[in-house]
Amino acid sequence: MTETPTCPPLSGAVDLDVLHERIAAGMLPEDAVTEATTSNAPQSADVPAENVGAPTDAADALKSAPASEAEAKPARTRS
Amino acid sequence: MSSRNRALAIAIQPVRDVFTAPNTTTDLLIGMSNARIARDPVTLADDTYTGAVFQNADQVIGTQDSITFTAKLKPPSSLPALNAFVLGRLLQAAKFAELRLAAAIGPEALGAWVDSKTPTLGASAAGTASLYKGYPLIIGAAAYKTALTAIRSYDAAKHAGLLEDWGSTPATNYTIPSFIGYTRDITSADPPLLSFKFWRAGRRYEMMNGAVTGLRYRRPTSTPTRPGYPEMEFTVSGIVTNVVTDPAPTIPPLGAMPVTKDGKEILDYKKIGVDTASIDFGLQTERPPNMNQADGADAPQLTGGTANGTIQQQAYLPSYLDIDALAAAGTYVPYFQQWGLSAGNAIQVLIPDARAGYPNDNANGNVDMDDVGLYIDVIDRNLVINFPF
Repeated sequence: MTETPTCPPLSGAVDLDVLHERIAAGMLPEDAVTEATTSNAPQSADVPAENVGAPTDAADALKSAPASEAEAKPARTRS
Repeated sequence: MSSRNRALAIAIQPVRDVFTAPNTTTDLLIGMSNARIARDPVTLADDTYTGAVFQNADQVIGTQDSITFTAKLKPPSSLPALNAFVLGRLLQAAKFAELRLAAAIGPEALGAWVDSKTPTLGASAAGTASLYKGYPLIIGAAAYKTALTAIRSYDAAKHAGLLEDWGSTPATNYTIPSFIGYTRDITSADPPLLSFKFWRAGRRYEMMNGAVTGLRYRRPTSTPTRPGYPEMEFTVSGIVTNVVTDPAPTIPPLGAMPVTKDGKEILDYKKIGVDTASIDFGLQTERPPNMNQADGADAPQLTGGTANGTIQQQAYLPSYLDIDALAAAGTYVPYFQQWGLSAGNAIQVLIPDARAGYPNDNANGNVDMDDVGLYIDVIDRNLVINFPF
């Protein structure tokens, strides 16, 4: 049985153009949302300089958009 | 110097405890009024003996800083880049997600209507459930104020439930227009912190670690006898890091602004006449204790909130709109506000699934009115403000 693809809750600053492109390319909605989203959650000032910009926890890791198309995850579809 | 010599500039602050200077021109909040800065002293009672019958006065050990102000709800002059709309930065700090669509979908033909509240979108639309929930939608080619509506629900079969009853099922085109929108973010992600420059009578206060600690939306209907602006009342708290001499910059005028008349106001698919509609976002914030910080606490964190709305509406007969029955049943009903006559100068406020309270007799005027509470649950995109272009 095929699961209905459902868009997850939206958070941060979401570029819907990117979201729509990714979904049209067959990406799962949750991955497409991640790629379309910029997190504005503040970094801690205590983070060492070399780690600034790096994910600080699992939630941030999910929201970290790749820097370029080349780094984008390959499109996946549910079977 | 005049007490009107006030201005506020706002920047998203990417790093905690590091002030991000807002630009004095591009980051100004346009349409601000009733601004006050409070520097409430934090005091400790000095209970030590003095050898006399009197006690020393309290010790002043710090300050709690906040700014309250009102912002007119006015669309940006053109579709802004992400994070660029200054009013939107405040909404983001109040835990709204910012949604930006530049590439319109359509125009293309609608599919068959399920019923007069539910058209089916066409080939360009994706079959992803909930994807277009909360989006604005233009149906047909009537006047903009009539053709513009919004999507309450969306399923994988491309059925787009509306927040209004279209009254017919026309074979026509639709467009999802470009827009910038704000929806209450129900994830657990931290909202951004803000840095402020606040000018007051020749002085400039610089505040960092700013969080929105109070937010209330108030929208009067603009009548011939009682015109009014739609406004958002903010309280922001943070830490003042600097006070310097600096005259306030010039703030651009409001310009053309959508007026809260000649629009749509709809509850449970029925047009209603409302005097004032308001939403209190009930934000709760707290500053975690931390002695490593200069004033003993971390930046404010959003720790909770319950959103509730109130509408003062005409008292309708149950045969038209039975609020008592809605309250008794506790069913979700859509609530929809829209005003403005053209693309780029229109505003939508949506609550796709509100629960109504029992109507409270508001006998203050000559017209029989009801105060109706709207209970707003934590559902994705259940509280949306759209600026379509």
